[in-house]
Amino acid sequence: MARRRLLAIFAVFALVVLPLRAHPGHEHKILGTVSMAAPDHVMLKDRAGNDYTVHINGQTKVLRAKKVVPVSDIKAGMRVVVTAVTEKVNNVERMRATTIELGTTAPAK
Amino acid sequence: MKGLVRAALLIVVVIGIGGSLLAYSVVRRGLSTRVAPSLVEERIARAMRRLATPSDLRGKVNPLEAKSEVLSDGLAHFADHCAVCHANDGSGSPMGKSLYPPAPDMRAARTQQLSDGELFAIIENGIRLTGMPAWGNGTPEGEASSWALVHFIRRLPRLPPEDVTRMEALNPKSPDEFREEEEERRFLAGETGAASPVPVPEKRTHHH
Repeated sequence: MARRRLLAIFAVFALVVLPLRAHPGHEHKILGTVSMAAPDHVMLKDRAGNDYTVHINGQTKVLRAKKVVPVSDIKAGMRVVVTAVTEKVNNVERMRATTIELGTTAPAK
Repeated sequence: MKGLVRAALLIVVVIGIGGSLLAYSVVRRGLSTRVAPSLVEERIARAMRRLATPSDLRGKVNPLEAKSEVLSDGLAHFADHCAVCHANDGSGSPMGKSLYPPAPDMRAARTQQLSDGELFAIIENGIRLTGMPAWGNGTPEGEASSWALVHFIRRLPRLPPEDVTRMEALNPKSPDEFREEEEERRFLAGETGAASPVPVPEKRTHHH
């Protein structure tokens, strides 16, 4: 009986001192041009020439002129502003887009 | 007598072990606000908040009619004062989510199930040991603003996207944020070349 009581009290302490869920990381903004677009990720190059791969999931909002549009509207050559958070998946840090604002498609060279 | 001594000893041992665990956890991990509160903390906090609501306010019904100008006032007020933590749509901004306890999702049933009077009391009096300040200033105008906010909070679960867009223009912005937003707009519009200086508008004021 005493052992059960002890276990119950330990469980309560565990709930108090070992909170489980962590918040996502800081937000990043990337202003860049899409080099490749897929349903689950987008690759882009920023104005300084840096390359990024940003993941897309069901919570990612794709916007054009503040209106929600489908992910398939993202096309290579398009200017975008990506707001992304860093997250760890299988111990690998990656960027996940929370919003992707679409702009104009760059003129063909 | 023997049983009593054994029970007292057990309590001392449990408190000692629990205290050591807590101390170990604090020393090892610190007291970060980057974790979600435990269920026990959440329950205690909700119970304390309920107890802290003055009983005469709890059952009070919003005295303002939900007219369009009242809702519009509530929207502007929320965008200017509340959205920094609660986000325009009430889901919680990154800053609000990093508070301890985090700003709640205002659209969720747990918030929407609070009475008008409870929401009003929270806005007017704040909540101790949280990030929620007291906005009340004891004037009838201030109270009217808080009741308008209560009406607006009721609309959050079905807030149309055009209202969110309207609110974005009303959110307080620093000169840097304004420049950043303008830079993004120009970039998306396909403008090229060195960015010309972006004029920063004069500070907007919103009367509370």
